[in-house]
This record gives sequence, structure tokens and C-alpha cells, in this order.
Amino acid sequence: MGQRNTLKIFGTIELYCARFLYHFQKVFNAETYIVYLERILQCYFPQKVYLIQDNASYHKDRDVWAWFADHRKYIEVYNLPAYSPQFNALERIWHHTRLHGTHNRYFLTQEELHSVLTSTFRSIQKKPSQVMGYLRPYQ
Amino acid sequence: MKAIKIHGTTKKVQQLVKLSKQALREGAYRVASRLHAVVLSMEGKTAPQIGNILKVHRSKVSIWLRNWQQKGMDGVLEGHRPGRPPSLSDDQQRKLTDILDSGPVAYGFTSGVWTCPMVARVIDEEFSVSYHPAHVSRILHELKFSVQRPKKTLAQADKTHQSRWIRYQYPNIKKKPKSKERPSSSRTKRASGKTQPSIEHGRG
Repeated sequence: MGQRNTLKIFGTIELYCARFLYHFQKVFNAETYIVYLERILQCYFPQKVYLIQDNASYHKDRDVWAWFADHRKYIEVYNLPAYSPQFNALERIWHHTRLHGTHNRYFLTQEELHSVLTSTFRSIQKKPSQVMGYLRPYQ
Repeated sequence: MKAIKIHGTTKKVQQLVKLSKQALREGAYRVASRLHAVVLSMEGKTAPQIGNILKVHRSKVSIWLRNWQQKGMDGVLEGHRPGRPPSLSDDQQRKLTDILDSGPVAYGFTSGVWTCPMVARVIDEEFSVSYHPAHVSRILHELKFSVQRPKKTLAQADKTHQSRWIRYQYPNIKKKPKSKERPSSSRTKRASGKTQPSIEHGRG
């Protein structure tokens, strides 16, 4: 009660072919972020990942930086300028998700929201062409 | 008045029917029905009969037919319809443009942007013409004004940092074309699917 009913999702989008990864989590913190980063590495192994992240506090946690340092071989990380969501390509994907999935709808339960989000994300993964246009300015 | 009778060959009739159908498709239904009247007259119908078929008064049909006889095709086309004259004269419109150009603050409003209700008030005060705000928007479009929306920027953002990112840092991260090995294939593969590595250089 009195709490905002939200779902927390980590996401990444590959700028040139719109490969989209996402992961639902209970909370946003350094621990869960590292779990998500591990997943990214798994998905892209053995390629090296160039990750651009925004300045959420848990993105810059000491543990996270230590993890980045440990995995320097596989991942290179860059921080966006602070307060500049316009440079973050993923924000466009969230925008797309809102337009196609959640806009102007009432969700009775969290499960309902979860399933709608999942189907939207799956459709992005299946047909990356629908979001390619959003990524054009970043390419 | 003598009854008007128009003579035409079958070919002419066919041509006019075609024209009439085209006029109907283009929404000029008045032109279409006039052409229809001419066609019927060519087929030997009298003006009252035509009026009965087209459900218009017979006097109207006579006028159409006479126009056709005198002016031909020009006689059935839509003429210029001036419509209701505007309440604001050209001079007043020019004055309104000047007022709008000089901004709402100059006119005595506290707000920095014009809105339609504000402009409606200005028009009422200056020219004693009362317009609905929604109609003001139409007038403004005719005067070549358009809606301007402010761009959102975050107050806490650092401009220099942002421009450094745009000009220098981000282009440096971006994938660069590999000089020799694969000149064009990576470009074609890029859009195709999920498996294409996006960033290849400097692996390991």
C-alpha cells in the first residue's frame, strides 16, 4: 500500500543491429547490475562489448567498477554525460515500449504488466527493424 | 421562352457521361449533375423531364442548358465563389501580424508565448471583432504563423560535457570501418540479424 507498483528492468540495445537484451529484477543495485552484466557477457562471448551506460548511482558503484576492472578483457565501459537522456539510445526503446505496450492502459496486476512488457520486448527482439529508426541518430 | 434542345452525337454523349462520372469522383457533384442534364437533353428529354429526373427545378435546368449552349464547357464548370468576406481587412491583418511579431510582453501580457485566447482578446480589443479562440488558430495559420514548442533541456546538465561527448568522446567509441579485410560485407550484414557482431575492432 502506498507503494508505486513498478517493475524494474535492465536493458541494453545494440546500436547497429538493434539486438535487445533485457532482464527483470526486484531491485536496482550494484549486485543485480553485476548479475545483468554477466548475462551481457554471456550473450556476446567471445566478442568484446563496448557498453555505454548512463549515470545511475548503481552503475558507478565501487563493486561495479571493480567488476569492470576484472573483466576489462571482455567489456569496455563509457559513461554518458550526466542528465543527458537524449544521448541514451535505450530511452528511445523504452519510449517505443510505452507507445506499443503500456500507453493508456490499466493493469490490474503486476503479472499483467509483466506479460505485456515481455511480449513487447520479444517483438522487438524478433523484429529489430521496428526500432532501427530510433537508433539512426546514434549510428 | 423557346424550349432549349441540344443536339449531340452518340460519341459526344459518351464523352460527356465519362466527364460527368469523373467530376463525381472528384467531388464536383454540381458540375456532374449539370453535365448529366446536358446528356439527357441530347437524348431528347425536355427541361421539366430532366428536372424531374435530377430532382431540381425545371427553371434551373433551362439555365444550365442555356449556359451550355452559350459558353460550352465553361458554362457548366464551378464559378468563383467568394464566400463570406473576412471580418478583418487586409490592413487589420497586417497590424495583427505586427502586434504578434513584437511579442506578448510588448502588448502588456505577462506570458512569453502567444496563445489563441490571448490573440482572440487582442483582436477584440484592437478591431472589436470577436472570434472563437479555435478560429483564431485558423487565422494565424493563414497568416503563416505556426505553433512553437520549447525544447526540453535539463537544468542540471553540463553543456560543455555534453558537447564534448557529441563531438569527441562518442565518435571515438563508435565502430570504425575496418580498413582492409571486409570493405562492404559488414555493412550489408548489419541490418540482417542478431548474430552480427557490432563492434569488432580491438578484440582481446
